[in-house]
Amino acid sequence: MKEFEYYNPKSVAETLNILENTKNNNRIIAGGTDVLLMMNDGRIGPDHVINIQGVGELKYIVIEKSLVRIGAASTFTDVEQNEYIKKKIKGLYEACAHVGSPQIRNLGTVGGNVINASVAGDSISVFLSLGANLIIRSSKGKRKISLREYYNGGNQTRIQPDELLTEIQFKKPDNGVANAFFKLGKRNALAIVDIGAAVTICRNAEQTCTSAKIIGGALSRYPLEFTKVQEYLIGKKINRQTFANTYEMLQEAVYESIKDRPMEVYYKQEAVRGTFDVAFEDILRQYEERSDWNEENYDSIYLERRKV
Amino acid sequence: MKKIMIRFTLNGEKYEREVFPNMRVLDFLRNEMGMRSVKEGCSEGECGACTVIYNGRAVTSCTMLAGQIDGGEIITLEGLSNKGELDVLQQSFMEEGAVQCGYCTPGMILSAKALLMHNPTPTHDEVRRAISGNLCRCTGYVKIVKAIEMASQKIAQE
Repeated sequence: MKEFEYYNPKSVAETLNILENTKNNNRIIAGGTDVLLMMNDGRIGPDHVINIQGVGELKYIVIEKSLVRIGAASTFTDVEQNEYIKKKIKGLYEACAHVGSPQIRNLGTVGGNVINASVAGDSISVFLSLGANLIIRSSKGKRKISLREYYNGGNQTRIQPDELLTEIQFKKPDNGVANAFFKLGKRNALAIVDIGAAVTICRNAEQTCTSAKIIGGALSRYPLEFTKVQEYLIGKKINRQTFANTYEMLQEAVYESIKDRPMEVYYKQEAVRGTFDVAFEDILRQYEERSDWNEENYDSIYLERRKV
Repeated sequence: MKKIMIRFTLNGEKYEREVFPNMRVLDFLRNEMGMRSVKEGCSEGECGACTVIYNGRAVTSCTMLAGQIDGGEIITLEGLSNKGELDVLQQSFMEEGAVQCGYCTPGMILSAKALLMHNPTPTHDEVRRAISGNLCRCTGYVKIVKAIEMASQKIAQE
């Protein structure tokens, strides 16, 4: 591995300072499971490596009145073990619980997943379906950007060498919102995603859809938003038939996205139906179970700020 | 490249070492600390052969830089036996015939150990999930799972 200077800050302030001073060629590692592999095979060669694993300020999961806030250095295990997320934001739970393996989940962070932005990133599809925003800080200040814009906006929206992603946040789902995720892969574990189906539906008291986010991972460079399906669902009753009516639209969108990839398109344009079917079934099941949900039990749950 | 000082606990003993930061934990444990039980498999965190326990959690040491263990506690297979007396897991693996070539075994046992440390009475599915990051090309996993279940039963009886 190429030589580098190593830093081990204990606070956000210290980290921002180091970033400012090393912005010519630096890299942050939070768990390191992606960055280290790239350094090992020479794909990247930073002169400065900044390990933020010890920055306790970045490890938290906070459920506020209207916002869910996740510290960027929270591991997939942290998210998987959060009772509120497991019960109330099932898609995020499923995505984080199925990343790689227990070992990778113990090291890898949601912030790393978002910034690394691998085509195969699991949590990023769910965060997009939840309408997540990113909080990015530097010694010059702070900016907030939607995850969608972060990916679609080109180089100028991306993280700069003097910047640090500190938080991923999204609107706290109310009782009308259901979130689901299903990962199609070749194995039950240690599997790179073939299709990641992330679905967030909002329905009103009449069981009619008022908003929908249908996101497919590993179907394009960044997770694919099925805009036609989303538009179709609004105003429709949430039931099996409604979801089944979206299959052709899903297939069309997949074909348009990867038609120049013959090794993938024939499989994925068929498999997208079954993959989203699992997520849709989960949504229906969640709505069916809603009658006994007690909102008060799960307000204001905090994860302890860990000191590593 | 400046060397860094790392302070850590390995198998119950405290250490202080100066290392070059571009060394992986895997190489550090094997070459600098003599922990030969830690095996290199795929070098990319996909096989689990290099698994060690770090602050109570199973991690793949090939995906970690030496600096990441500063201030932490590491357990390798060498730390499981106590003055020649084998850990319950090691005993069970032997008794159940859960070892063939042995290469995946240190990582398997440590993933199981990490599970039992947090959950001493796991279900069958929880055992399978705990070793889902450890690949074995020899055994077909059945005896490995049985060995872990036997070990947890023995611990429950004590």
